[in-house]
Amino acid sequence: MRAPAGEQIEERRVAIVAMQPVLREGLRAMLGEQRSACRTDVYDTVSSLLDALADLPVAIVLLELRQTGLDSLQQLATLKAHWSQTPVLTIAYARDSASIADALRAGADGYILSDDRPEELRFAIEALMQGRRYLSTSICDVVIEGFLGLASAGRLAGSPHAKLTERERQVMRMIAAGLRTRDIAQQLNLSPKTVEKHRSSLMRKLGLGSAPAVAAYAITHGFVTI
Amino acid sequence: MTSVLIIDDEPDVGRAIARVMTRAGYSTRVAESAEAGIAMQVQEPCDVVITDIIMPKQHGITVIETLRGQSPGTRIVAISGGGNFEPQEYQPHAITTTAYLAAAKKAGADAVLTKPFDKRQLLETIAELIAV
Repeated sequence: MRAPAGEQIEERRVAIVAMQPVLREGLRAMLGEQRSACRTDVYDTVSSLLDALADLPVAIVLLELRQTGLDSLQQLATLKAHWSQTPVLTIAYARDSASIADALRAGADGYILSDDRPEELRFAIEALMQGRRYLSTSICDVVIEGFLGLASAGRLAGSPHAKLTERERQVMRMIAAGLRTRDIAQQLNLSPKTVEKHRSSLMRKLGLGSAPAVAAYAITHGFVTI
Repeated sequence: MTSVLIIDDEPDVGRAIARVMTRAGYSTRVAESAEAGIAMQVQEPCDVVITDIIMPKQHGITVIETLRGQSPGTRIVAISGGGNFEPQEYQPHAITTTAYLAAAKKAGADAVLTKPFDKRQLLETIAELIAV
């Protein structure tokens, strides 16, 4: 369900979504020191946040984007589908261009790294609260190089992987990581048959005929790092 | 003699802290998990507890909350250098490390130290806590 335009956002309410309890409470404590006037609520998943506050969009959401949590992007997309106007700052572990691009495509308004200095958190929140987007200074080089690389190769829109769906990109990464269909199905909570369908579809779109070729493509185009 | 319990899932770190404290004249004990540390403290309470935050199973925040409930007079120092269970390069200035230590303070730690810290920082912190 998409939130209607002009959704009522509670100005002083901040939501933190993080799987690790210590991180959740720690971020809440940090924000308490920085933004004493704000009310901060913590949740372990986007679903629990939406269950609790579905009709009351918050001023900003801080979302832990886990590298191994393959449903993180799905959670981000779900959040943006419900609260289209609520800025979401992702606190991520991955610093490669493909992961950053995936998060931005899924709707992230800001992307900072878990090992950034705490000032980045403050700068990012300020930027997002003012309606701007924010990328941590520590990923600027990766983003610029990625942009220039794509631009110089004329591949910004025309690359074969531009046609892949988000799910196909996930499956491609997992194939490249050496996972079998059964393992992929388990991690994505899908049936093996559905995974096979995604696998066939992505291989067709990329014009590839084998799992090693998919892995090579994923590595060459920055979808996974080795 | 002031007694100190060190709780850290990295055995090398626990032993190194114990060595420093013993040489400085403290009586020390080491636990390699939150569960073991809490049990040791229940059995024979130490004056000071130094606890790591990120550990497998129960984490250091649980240690702090439990000990605060059991023995409010215990001096507690939280230590953290980052967010992983595997020994690795510490990230003392990371958002995660800052968050872990902020959570520790909120849970009731009397002092926090960011790994890596040196001998002098550790001894000064403990001495200040005992003097209060």
